Amino acid sequence: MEAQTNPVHYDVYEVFIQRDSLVQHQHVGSLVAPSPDLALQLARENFLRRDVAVSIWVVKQDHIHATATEDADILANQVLDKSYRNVSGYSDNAKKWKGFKERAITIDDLVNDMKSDG
Amino acid sequence: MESANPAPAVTHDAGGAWVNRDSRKRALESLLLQLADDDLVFGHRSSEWLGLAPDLEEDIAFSSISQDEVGHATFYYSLLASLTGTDADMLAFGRDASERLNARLLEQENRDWAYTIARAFVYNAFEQVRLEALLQSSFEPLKQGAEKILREEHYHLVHMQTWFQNLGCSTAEAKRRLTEGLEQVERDWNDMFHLGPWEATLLEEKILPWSATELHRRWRAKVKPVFASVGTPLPEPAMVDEARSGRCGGHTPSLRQLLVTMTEVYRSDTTAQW
Repeated sequence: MEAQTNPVHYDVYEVFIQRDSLVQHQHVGSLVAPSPDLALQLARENFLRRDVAVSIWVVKQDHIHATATEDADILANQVLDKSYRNVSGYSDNAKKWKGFKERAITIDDLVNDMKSDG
Repeated sequence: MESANPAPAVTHDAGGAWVNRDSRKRALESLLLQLADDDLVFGHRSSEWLGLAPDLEEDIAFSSISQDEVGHATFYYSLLASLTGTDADMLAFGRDASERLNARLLEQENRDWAYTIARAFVYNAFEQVRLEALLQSSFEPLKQGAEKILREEHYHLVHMQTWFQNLGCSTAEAKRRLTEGLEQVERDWNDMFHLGPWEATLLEEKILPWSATELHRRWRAKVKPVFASVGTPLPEPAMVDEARSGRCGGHTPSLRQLLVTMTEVYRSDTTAQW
């Protein structure tokens, strides 16, 4: 397409499909179309000929702001130990709590409790 | 077609008892053939764009739409076959041009994209009106089919209208081609609104509750604003000459040419199981 001389040109649209109302839209691919209306209509036939869905989004590719793939450090992660951010420690909590509640309570414990309350 | 058959076996079909009366049966047969032949011929012409549409995405979309149309024809042929004890493939591929009841507009060669869009928009709008009439049909299987088909036709009409308006509001060349395409469509479109020799029975029996005049009036109300939006006049179709109506089997050489291509495989061995 000679976009400079031809006023009717095509844009690239990214297509997102929501397959049922309980899930989010998912990216399925892209297409070229002369208008957003036609992009939506063409998305239906190019990506949903057989499947069912509840909603389609099309987004002009130009309107997407993306990170630069050559700037690898913008996504630098797991370079140092980040185990303190993980929640795996919580899995032991139930066991510890159970052990604490099962500990036998003695007469001395009760007496000490009452003394400190008084 | 099968009216010469003395004992139509229709015991297995829910509509069987309903079509017992002869005039009712003949009228229903005629209508089902109009519906089926329209969609098959239109679907076949549309499928000829495969690989040739203006862009790849439209190629896929247009082919998918043409498959839908052939699917609708399959529904009508199968319904008729179950009523008359015939075979849907025979009805679709085994009948001579003079037995076909499609509108002449639909059998014409595709010419260019603008003509194709002009014809598709005009026909899809008519098809939608005719299906809306069938939503009140006294023949239950047809009524139920119309409900389903209408849901698919909604998208077809939206798509053709979008293209129609895009061409009509685009460059001078697009506008010129659309105008020329419409002039050609208007030369052939009058028998589309014709219901053939059984119209009175179709209305009396409420198989199709709207007359040809009423269908045309409603079609006009639907397309008029779209024609206006691209600044194109909407002429009145000429009176139908019954001898030259597709609804009475009157066709142009284009239909014969279409049938030669479409039925080539079927004719190579009519007893083959596909």
